[in-house]
Amino acid sequence: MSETWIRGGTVFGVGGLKKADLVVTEVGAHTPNEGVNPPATAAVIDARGLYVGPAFVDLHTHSRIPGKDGSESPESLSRAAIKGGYGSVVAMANTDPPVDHVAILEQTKKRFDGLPIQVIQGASVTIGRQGERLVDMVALKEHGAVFFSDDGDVIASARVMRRALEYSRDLNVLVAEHAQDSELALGGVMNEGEISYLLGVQGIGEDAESIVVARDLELNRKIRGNLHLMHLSALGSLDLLKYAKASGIPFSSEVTPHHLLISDSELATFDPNYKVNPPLRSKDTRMALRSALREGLIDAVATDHAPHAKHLKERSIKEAPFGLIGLQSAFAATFTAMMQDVSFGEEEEDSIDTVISLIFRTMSIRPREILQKVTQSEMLPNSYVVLDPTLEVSQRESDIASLSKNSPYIDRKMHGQVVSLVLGGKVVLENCELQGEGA
Amino acid sequence: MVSDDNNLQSTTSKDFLAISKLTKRDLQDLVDKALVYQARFKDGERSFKELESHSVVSLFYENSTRTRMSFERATKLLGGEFAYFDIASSSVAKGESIRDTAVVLEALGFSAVVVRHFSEGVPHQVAKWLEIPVLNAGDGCHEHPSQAVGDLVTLAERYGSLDALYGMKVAFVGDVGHSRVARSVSLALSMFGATSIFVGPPEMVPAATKVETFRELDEVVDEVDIAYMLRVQKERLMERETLDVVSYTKRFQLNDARAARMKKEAVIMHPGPMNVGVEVDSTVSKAIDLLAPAQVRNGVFARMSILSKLLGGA
Ligand SMILES: [Zn+2]
Repeated sequence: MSETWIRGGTVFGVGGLKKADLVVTEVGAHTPNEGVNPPATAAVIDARGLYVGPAFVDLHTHSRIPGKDGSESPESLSRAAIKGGYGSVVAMANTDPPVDHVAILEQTKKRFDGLPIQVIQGASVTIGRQGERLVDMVALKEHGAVFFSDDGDVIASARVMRRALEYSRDLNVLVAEHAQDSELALGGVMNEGEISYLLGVQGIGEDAESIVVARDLELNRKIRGNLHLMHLSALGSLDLLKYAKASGIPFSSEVTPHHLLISDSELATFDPNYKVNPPLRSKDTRMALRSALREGLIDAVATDHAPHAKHLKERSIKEAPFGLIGLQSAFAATFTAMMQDVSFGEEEEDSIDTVISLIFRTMSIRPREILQKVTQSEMLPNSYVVLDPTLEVSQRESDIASLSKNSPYIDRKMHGQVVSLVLGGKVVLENCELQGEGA
Repeated sequence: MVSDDNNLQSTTSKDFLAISKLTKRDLQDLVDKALVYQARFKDGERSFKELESHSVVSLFYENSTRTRMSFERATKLLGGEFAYFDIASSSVAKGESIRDTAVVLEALGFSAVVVRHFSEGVPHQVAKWLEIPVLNAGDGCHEHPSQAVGDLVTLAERYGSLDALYGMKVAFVGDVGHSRVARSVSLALSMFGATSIFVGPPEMVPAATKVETFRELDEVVDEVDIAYMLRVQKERLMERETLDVVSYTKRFQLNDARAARMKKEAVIMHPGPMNVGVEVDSTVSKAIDLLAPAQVRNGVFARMSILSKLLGGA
């Protein structure tokens, strides 16, 4: 059996970080005994000075499959995920057509067959994502759907949401909410605040999010379904999460790398690549989101990877669609954001250790737990990522593996590079180059 | 915010996009030049040479006959040619991306593009895509910088110098939040030491502004030096479920009675076209303190000054 030795790295495990070698095979992973060297047949990844931990899991990817605009293909999605250090991604159901019944779920899952990454195909909560009639969650669950969301849109009806949460509890599936009151957000392009006022651009206030978060949490007080709150971006939402925790209301939640790293002032360039929903917020909110992630109030970092064909992002900011791509840059963006809060100096190494541990906790461990505990999903086993946190990266458009190039990270100086990735015991990325099935 | 030191410098940009990208020095230079054109025009001169051999094209995604004609007049007075590419009336261009259209205009050999769009930022985007100068003729609710330069010319003419603006109080009345004119003009005036206040209902003056805000025109009408009345589009007013024309005019119309309470030297400005009976009544619309006709006239000299700065090599 083929073995991959990841040698000389600092490995993230149950007891935290420690220097160790790691032997990964298709059936398991272990630390070799002291003094034992890899056999001649083994693949060896040099991880000296680097960090090793479980491959990332993304709870929020827009695969655009099925889709008609050619913004992503299964292969390009896989390459982007691998370059980002991801082994598993949850694919949103707001496709064209949406994944709202068994036949289309089955067809869509087939499109991802044979990829080295695991794509967990989500389903919509309502038929046609129209917000009115619940999909057949029972039948969809029987065919493997565990993640239900109308993402892209809120579930506007409290009655429908209540019912979906009930089913989520009984079926052990997740219902994920894009919390945003559509009336308040109507016509909005960016965060409502000082910057939107200066630019004359119509805003989307944080209250558009927090009032829906409040509603959903209250609905879940009695129902106790598996509520997942997506891409949180409001101070009010964070207060509500604290309150829900104290009240014992169950929920899980995520924040995106872009909400941690960049703020609404970027819109002053009128570059539609910064147009995203929920919008980039003020610096104050960004700092609060970082604290919430550090303190575990928010469980996971999820990318909201949202490819759009180039011509659509060459429109005006009013007309361009919301969304940015994020799989490939998620580690660098999150690491860079979280490092901005720690002071450099003598403790630099400690700070890196702390932030790397946080990254593994929120990008690998918690998302995997959320999927496994709730849905008993079988996750891709024996998958490890090797990270170089010190490397300064500045992405060029030609480095982007996605078919779409709507990245806010192009030419942005960040720190952190995904160096190697082993999925299911196989090396798919080594020294930043795609390998074998990953290529 | 532009610091005082920066304000003394002039900026160099191939484009004319926003007052927020200019310094006090830039504005002063543009106004001075416009006043020279104004004086020469008064002396009967009609043929200036700065734009000879240049051809300027307008790319308007939103109709505005007045602004386009003002740019056209300015270009032609300077000896240049002017062409239209009006998307709003061109079915051919529908569906073509802004970038593709703009690139074609550059390829056709035009010297500069005057862009108006219903979305904020489009002239800024076009400026990044093209090497030739791009002039902002109004982008969504963001800015209308050539209007602001024209208004400064009008005020300089009225008061003899822009220095007179120092310490003045200027009320912008109406839909400030959606007004690119208010945004550009208040920024420009602030560089010369005038203080802006906003007057309007919450539907029109958003809470996010740091500018002092009043909900009744009566509260401030007797203390302002300039009342800048913004155009209220009736259709737009009707779209708002919480406001109607009657309650609006009652609280915010500059009528005869309110105008009589204004300071003796105070002036009234309006970017035009006026909605008589909404933001102003018929008496005010004909008042001699209303600078609106001068604003239109000076808009041409301002645009001559801007075009000649970008293309005239001077
Ligand atoms: Zn969403």
